[in-house]
This record gives sequence, C-alpha cells and structure tokens, in this order.
Amino acid sequence: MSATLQPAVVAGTVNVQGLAEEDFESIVLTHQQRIYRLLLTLLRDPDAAATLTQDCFLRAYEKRHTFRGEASVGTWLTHIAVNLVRDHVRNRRQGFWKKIFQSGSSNDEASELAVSETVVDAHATPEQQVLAREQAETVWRAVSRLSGQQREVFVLRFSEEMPLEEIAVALDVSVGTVKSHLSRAVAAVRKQLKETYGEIALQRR
Amino acid sequence: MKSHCNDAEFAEALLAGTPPAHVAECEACRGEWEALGGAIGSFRQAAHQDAERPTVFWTAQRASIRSRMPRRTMTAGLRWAFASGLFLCIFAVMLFLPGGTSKTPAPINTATVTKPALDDDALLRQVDEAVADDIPSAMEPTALMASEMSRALNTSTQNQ
Repeated sequence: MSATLQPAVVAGTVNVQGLAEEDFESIVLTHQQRIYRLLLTLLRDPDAAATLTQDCFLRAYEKRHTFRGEASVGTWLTHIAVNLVRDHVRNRRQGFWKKIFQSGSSNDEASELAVSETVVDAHATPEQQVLAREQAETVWRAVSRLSGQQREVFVLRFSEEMPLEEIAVALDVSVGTVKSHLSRAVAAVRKQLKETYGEIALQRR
Repeated sequence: MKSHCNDAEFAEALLAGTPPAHVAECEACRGEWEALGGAIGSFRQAAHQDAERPTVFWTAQRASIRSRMPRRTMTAGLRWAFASGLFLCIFAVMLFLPGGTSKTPAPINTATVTKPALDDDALLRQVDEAVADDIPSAMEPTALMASEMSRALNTSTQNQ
C-alpha cells in the first residue's frame, strides 16, 4: 500500500467511484481509532470492539468497488460498523438466551455494560473525577435502556460529534428520525439524572 | 413567565450547543441544563478515554487487518498487458531463433504414384478365370480346412 495516497479521498472530502487498493492502509490508519471507539462505546466490550474494528475494515476492503462517494469514507465506515454492531448484538442476544436456558442466569450483560473506572479528567480533583465518573455512568445507564437505533444516534451525536445529516446517512434514516431519536434519548438521560440525583439536587448542581 | 424547558427544547439546545433562552431567567432550568450538559460531556470524555490504546495496539490491529486481507491479484488491465507481452516474446523467439519458423518448410511432394495400367483384355481374362473357379479365392482357406478334416475322418474310419 503506497505512501502516495490521496488525502482528500481518505478524509472523504472528495467523491470517487470506488476506492483504490493502494489507499486502503491510509484509510485504516486514519479511521481505526474512531471506529474502535465507536464500537467500544456501543458494545462496552474491548475484545469485541477490537475484532469488529478489523471486520469493519475487511468488509470495507471487500466492498471497496461499491463505494460511490455519495457519503464520506468516514460515514461509509460508520455505516459498516453500525451494521456489524447490530449483527453482533443479535448473535449475543441469541447466545444470552442459550446461556439462560443452560445455566439459569448470566451476568455478562451487566459486566459489559459497566462503565470503566477510567479517570475522566487527569487534571480534575479526586472529587471532580468521582463526580464525572458517576455522571458518565448515569448517562450510560440511561442510554443502555434505549432502543438500538436511539443508542446509536445518541453515541454518534454526543460521543462522536457527527453532524445530523451524516448520522442519517450512516444509519440509513431521515434527519427527522435522527432528531426524534435524539429527543427521546435526551429525555431518557434527563429522567435518569433526576432519578439518580433527585430533582432538587439536580437543579442546584 | 414561560413554563420550564421540555425534552425537545433541551435536545435542540444540546444540538445547537447554546442554552435555551429560558435558561437565563429560570434557575431550575439553568441547573438542569448545566447538569445535562455536564453529564453528556463526562460521557463523551469517558468514551474517548476508554478507547485510548498504546501505539502498539493500533500497529497490531493494522497488521492483523493486513494479514486477513485476501491476497492481492493482478487487475484486469495488468493481466492483459502481461499476456500480450508474453505472446510477443514467444513470437519473437520463434521468429528469430535458428531452426524456428523462419526456416523454409520442405516442399511437399505432389507427385502421384502411377500404377501400370492393365490392358482391357488381360483384365477380362482374370475375371473369367475367377468366375470359372469352383471355389472362390476368398473361400480357399476354408475349403482346404474342410478337405483336411474329411480326409482325417476317412483315415480314422478305415483304421477301425
């Protein structure tokens, strides 16, 4: 894979018919961290996120001739990643029910959904760090109860900071649907914050 | 005074990145706006920090992707160019090598073999002789075998 890549193609700022094989390593280099982060945020499973990141680029490589340049490379990869998450969740759900029938209970879901103990801001005081972690957990708790598509929209908008139009393209829905999902997601987060901190405490924060 | 901000207004404000106008005059909504924005900001930061990995992780990922990629094949254009080049090389070798196609082929002998013509009288005589024979020439071996067998049979009968 050559070093003479076309930055505009890789960044997705130019429309092309298909992707050149030579550009592929540069595309991986440019987008791998963002795709991994998206997958990790949606799945809360580092191993699955790592595997699906590879799968995402392999699928993109296989389908590189079908890339029409109507969306950016980043949006196209996001579309592939989201589809992989849906497949993975579907398979995991089937596995979950298998486990339920086999052993009677499973804590895998809960452990995967737990927000890591990462310190959110290295420069914050310990108290601020604890508060930030609590807040992140509260938001995740609310987000994990949303439907799959609402969760995808929320993460793409508020974690990946993608524009609404790109989210609509990546998820193959209208901008109106994206807005509606976001509104529901924000309502769920508000409700969760109120449940966690209490309405009065929330208003004082 | 306007009632408190609803979910849609908060969502719109979050998308725009600017607080709803009502927040300026309502302490309750201001508190909620700050809490919501702070919580979502913490969520984003946590998501980004969780996904941080050392350089070796990304390098290993790329290597793994590369190893799982199907082997590269020649593009159609390259294949045609390669085939054409190969054909030309073979043609050139055959053309210029001593003993190759440049050698003049041996002339084909077109002379036909002529049989001595039998004259008509001789041919008629041969036909007459063949017709006059008791046994056709094609049946001579069978006739010989039959006569031998009958002679042997007669001999054995006489001996008894």
